Amino acid sequence: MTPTSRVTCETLLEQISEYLDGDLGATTCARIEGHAASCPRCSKIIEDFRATTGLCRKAATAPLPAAVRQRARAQVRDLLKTSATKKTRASRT
Amino acid sequence: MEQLLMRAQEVAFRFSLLVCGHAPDAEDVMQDALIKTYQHVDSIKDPSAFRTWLFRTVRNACLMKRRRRVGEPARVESLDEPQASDDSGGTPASRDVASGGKGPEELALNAWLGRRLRRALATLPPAYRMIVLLREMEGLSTREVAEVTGMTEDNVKTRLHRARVMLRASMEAR
Repeated sequence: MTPTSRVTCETLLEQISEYLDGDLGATTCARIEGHAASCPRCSKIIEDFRATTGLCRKAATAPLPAAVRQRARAQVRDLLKTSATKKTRASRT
Repeated sequence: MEQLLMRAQEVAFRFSLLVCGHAPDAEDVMQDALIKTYQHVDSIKDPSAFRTWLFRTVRNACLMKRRRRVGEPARVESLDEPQASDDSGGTPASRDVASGGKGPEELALNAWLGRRLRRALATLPPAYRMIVLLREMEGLSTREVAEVTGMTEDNVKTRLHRARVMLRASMEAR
């Protein structure tokens, strides 16, 4: 889309990812925002895309389920303990 | 050190569970990532390079796991190539992220990720789930995702866009 072309529902949907990722110029962004302001359907699409990204980000910050976390920590501690024992033995010989 | 290794395991578990879809495999991949990270830890200089190294390592471990899995379904889905119907906007064939079970582990995993998101992710082909996970969840840049997956940056952007469209449609349908 050239900066002078009109934003339609179709072009907005094609460019929504670039828009959300900040890959578009200011003029194109302003045109997209102008279209969304007058088009409830496109405004909802933008909102939905943002909400989905928000859910993904939130999921990535959640700690592991307690049982998995417990097993993971036990494995880490076992590995560190085994490694420390090996190093001690190696330094004695 | 303990914190770094725990973080590596978290990343490995999330990637493996979401992209490959089997909790027991995810724990095996997690353990594999732990050992490889411990062996690699002394050569870590750049945190960003470590991140892409870790994801590449986990991705390879997932691929190996999928190839070796006993009772693998007849059609083995690639982590890199979406199904033929994906590009035409058809229904993706992949449904291999378990999310409908009611056992305690399943319930814990659904509570952890959010059942709605987990189910929506399950509708994506593995190749698209991988892009969503790396870009949207783990926050890697397009360039970093391209490094991990071996795709071009343009390809990453195209697939991310398609995945977002599919995810929205799936979330809306529920």
